[in-house]
Amino acid sequence: MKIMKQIASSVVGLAVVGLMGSAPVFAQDMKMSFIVKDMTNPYYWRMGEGAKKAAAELGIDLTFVSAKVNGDIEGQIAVVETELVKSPDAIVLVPMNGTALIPKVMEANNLGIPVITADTRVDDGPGKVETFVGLDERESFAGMAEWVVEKLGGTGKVAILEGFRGSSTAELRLNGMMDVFNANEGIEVVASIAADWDREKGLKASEDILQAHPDVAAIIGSNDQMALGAVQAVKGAGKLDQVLIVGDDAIPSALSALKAGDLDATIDGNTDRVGYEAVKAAYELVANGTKPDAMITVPSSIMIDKDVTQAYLDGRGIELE
Amino acid sequence: MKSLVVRLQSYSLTWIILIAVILGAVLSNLSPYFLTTGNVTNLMKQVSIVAILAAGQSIVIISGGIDLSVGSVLALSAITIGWLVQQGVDPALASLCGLAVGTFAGFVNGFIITRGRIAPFIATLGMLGIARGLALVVTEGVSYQVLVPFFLYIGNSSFLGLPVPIFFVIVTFAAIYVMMVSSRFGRHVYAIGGDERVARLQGIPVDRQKTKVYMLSGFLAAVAAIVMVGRLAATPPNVAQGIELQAIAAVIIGGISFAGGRGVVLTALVGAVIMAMITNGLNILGISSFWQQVLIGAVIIAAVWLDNIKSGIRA
Amino acid sequence: MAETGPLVEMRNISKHFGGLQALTDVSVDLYPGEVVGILGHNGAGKSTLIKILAGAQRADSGEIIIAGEHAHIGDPNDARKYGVETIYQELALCGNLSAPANLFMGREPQRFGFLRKKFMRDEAAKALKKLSIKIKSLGAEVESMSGGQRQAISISRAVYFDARILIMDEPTAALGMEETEMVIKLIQELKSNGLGIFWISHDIHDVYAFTDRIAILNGGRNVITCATKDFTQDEIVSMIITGKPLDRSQATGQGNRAQ
Repeated sequence: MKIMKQIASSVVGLAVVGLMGSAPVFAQDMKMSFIVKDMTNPYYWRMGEGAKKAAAELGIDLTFVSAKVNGDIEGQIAVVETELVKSPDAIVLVPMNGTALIPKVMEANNLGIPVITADTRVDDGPGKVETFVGLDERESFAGMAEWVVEKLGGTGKVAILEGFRGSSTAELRLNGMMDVFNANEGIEVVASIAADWDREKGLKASEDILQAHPDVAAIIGSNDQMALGAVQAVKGAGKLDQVLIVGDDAIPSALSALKAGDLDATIDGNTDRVGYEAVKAAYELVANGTKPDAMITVPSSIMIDKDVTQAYLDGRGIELE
Repeated sequence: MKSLVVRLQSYSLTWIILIAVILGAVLSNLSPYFLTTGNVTNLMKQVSIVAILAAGQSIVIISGGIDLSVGSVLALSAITIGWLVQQGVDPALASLCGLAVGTFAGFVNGFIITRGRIAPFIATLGMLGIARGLALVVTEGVSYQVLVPFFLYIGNSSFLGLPVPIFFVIVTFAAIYVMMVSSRFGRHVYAIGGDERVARLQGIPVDRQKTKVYMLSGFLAAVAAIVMVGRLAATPPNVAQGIELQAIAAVIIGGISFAGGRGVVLTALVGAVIMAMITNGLNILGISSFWQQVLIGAVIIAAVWLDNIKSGIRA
Repeated sequence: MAETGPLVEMRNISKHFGGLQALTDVSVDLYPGEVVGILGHNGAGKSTLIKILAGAQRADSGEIIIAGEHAHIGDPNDARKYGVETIYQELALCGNLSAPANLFMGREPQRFGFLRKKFMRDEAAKALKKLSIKIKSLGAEVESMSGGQRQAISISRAVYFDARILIMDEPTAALGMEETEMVIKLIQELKSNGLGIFWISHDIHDVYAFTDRIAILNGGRNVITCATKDFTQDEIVSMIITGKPLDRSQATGQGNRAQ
């Protein structure tokens, strides 16, 4: 009876998965949950692709999930709770808020389920995290800032579009840039506005920046969505050849913009590698008991128009129009 | 002998509970995890915040109004608590201050609506911006850590085998139910929602009672904030954005008339449970969160449609 | 009857809304056991006058004397304290509530902070029975009831709270023939119990048949106050339209009561 029910439900489960167009899931020994901030964002989608690749290679039954929207912390907590009920062998978590997810990490600790964070950290505290896999955001943005300074020849007015105030990622990215800009006498940061990772808000903020500082030489988006908003604003002002615009994350639409010459640079955080490495580290821990390093750093790279090659796009499975 | 109204009321409640039970049965058939103790516990924790807000919202909607500001007021109360705890204030006292802030925001809503003769939709839309903006200004966008035992207990512990947040829900609904059914205030809320001008001409202190309605809604937003702080162990000022729409949806799914004057508050609790079940069930089934929104949207429309069919479409 | 003093005297009442002068020095009075019809066009000031007595609006100037005492009426509850009950044409009842809930609206009895629901239901049953009003179920929403039943509930409310002065705004306008008769019968009974009734209506036939005196307003001013039967229906209609009193020597009797 129970077996029948399980078969029935797994059949339904398969049908549902099939419906959603994901790869078929095979019955596996190891189960893992990969929880991100927002599956709609290509950044995390790509991370999921890397994670799925690792799962396929290692024979892991992987669940890749997120809350409805980035910012819905309560929603992400609910997702973690739901995943914990399934008693996975490990959880990879991209926390929306460094503090808010601590109680859930503690809950996993109590259940003996190891937690690995990726991309964004959980704050230090009572929650025990096995390792953190990701970029050094601060270093990565410092690198980008140096590239900008070099491009501007050491002088010019710069504006920054920040992510959510209070998000640790936003803070690291901002600090990385400010380290470099503050160290360069010729660079003046004329505006630093929180556009909440959002394209429309990035557009509006950039319009305001262009109004207030017509001679701004560079606008840096802390992610590509905001940078693309800046592209629209600068285009509208007819200043595309005067203003340097850079973003971060190398999402597909940003690559198109790079190719078209609208966007000048973006950071490829290689998030597929973050996803891949996180799953792999979890696997090593669970299967072989290998303790991972305290941090697994995935290096980032700055991309400009000529880096958007067919080979690169094929490697990421992206088709640009 | 039960009067007809009481029977009709229990009818609308049984109807919505039936839908919840069917949904639960379908979900437990689809996933072996759904009816596990662990998941039911999760469900109770997950429903708590929206349910508490829905209790307040149901009173506002029965009075013929709407309160769009509850999510922002929740955030403002939460950061008040977070800031005070950060300053070393006793968590219980900080919670009381949070309740005061929420109630005051509700009072401002009520004052603007009754004295300024401004439609509730507009007044509370304004408060939505004001409270959220204040929360961001005060904190400069920073999320305070609230890793104190008091709140960790509220958010993550069990009492008598049930998660603590569900007791907030039970007490809230018990109190609101008695208030709406057996107090003069509750009777006045129904009268005002039925026909405000009649209520006024019959000597009901309409403005005072309406102000109380919005104060109550603000107070309950702050109660939800206490649970939220417990759940998050932090007070991000951007928390609970758009949650007012979930609370309103819970009220509508429960079958409380949007036109005001009719409905049973307990149905809003069931409405909130149904929404939480959909989200939780689809999470468990691993179905994309995009479909959750589609399904909840469909359920809202279906609920109102069913209601219209049942009542022979009221004008 | 002629020996007793007036129940209500409204003296020199004026009221304006912004630039619009709604009432100018209007005076009317009402004696126990009497029905006084208030007549006039739309905008003649009938409703405003009556709302001032009912506490729904305040006069700018003038005075109200009830049973020989100066009355200060600031809101509907004040009016009720003086025994003034009003039955509005459209705004009498909340359709979403039951008959007992409507009967006690704004004056709900409570004990220890809780509504006395059983008491309200029993009292409502008695009050309706006293006026021989039949309704199907005390729990039903009044919206599901006929116009006559609803009007009857309003009247029973006034009676239950011992109204001495009853204001009826278009009491029969929305009713059918049979229901109108029922309401008229109720009013006759109240009248014989010594209540004073102000009757506002457009229907000159009803007014002519059931009022003892009439007060005609035009443009917010008194035109004439006289015994109904001093004039013919046609004459009354012509005074409503022209706003000028007909000079007639036999216009005496009760009409002289007004100044």
